[in-house]
Amino acid sequence: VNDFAVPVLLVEDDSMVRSWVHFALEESEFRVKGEASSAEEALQLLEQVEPLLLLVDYRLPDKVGTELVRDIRLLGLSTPAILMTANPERGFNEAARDAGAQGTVLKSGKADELLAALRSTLRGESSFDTRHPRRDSGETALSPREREVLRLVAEGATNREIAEALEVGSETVKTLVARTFLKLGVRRRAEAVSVAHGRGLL
Amino acid sequence: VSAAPASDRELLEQAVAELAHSLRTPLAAILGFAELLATRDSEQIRRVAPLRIQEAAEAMMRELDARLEQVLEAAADRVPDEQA
Repeated sequence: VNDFAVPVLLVEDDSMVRSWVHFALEESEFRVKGEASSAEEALQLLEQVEPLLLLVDYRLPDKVGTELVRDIRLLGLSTPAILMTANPERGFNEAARDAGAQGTVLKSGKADELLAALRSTLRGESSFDTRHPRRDSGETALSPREREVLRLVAEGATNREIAEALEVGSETVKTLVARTFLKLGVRRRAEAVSVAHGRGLL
Repeated sequence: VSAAPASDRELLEQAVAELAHSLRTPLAAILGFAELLATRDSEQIRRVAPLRIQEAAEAMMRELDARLEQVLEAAADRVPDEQA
């Protein structure tokens, strides 16, 4: 074990991906010092792990990753953060940057790509994966279902409550919330509600 | 709370986005562990990687089976009675 390795807090709900990241970093200057499978768990681990880097999945069970990064920034912590997704998502880099993240990386299974993003970010450079298409310059229309999600978010509903209200599964809710936030160009619930009011969507 | 009706197009887009995500995540794990097996000289990786690859492949198979079943059920629902 390298005692001088850079401690990384990994926030990812998929155990296979967590395991891969652990091994991918094994022979590098980085080490996964803490693993969380939800945003809530990540916030609890922050003090204990004292990470120098955060590697955060976008689609978490309780929040989207940009919300978590924003929450961490509001705590006054500037620990560099990289957001991960499996799909290339339009507007993802802009949403990550707006939330206070320093980079994004696609879950491609390539250790070199992950390590390059971690190294750039640790050096203080930004590292945004260019495979995510740029955000549309105009406002993207929300679908009826996404507007319904927005209405429930405005009422303070959690992802679980949204799933119950729409009679859909947890994975579907994660997709709906993530797409709604990316279309609005927001990173957290309060901001989504504010933007929605501003645009007359609620 | 009543849910807004989702259009066919919206449901299709959502289903494709979910399918892509639910397949890409285990696929990334398979590719990742295969790469580690090919490039790292580690006894632990040789022991763990095949198990993780199998686990990820099984997750993909389950996902495909579940989605195909949904598609077949949806298609069956759309067949008019006189043609059923």
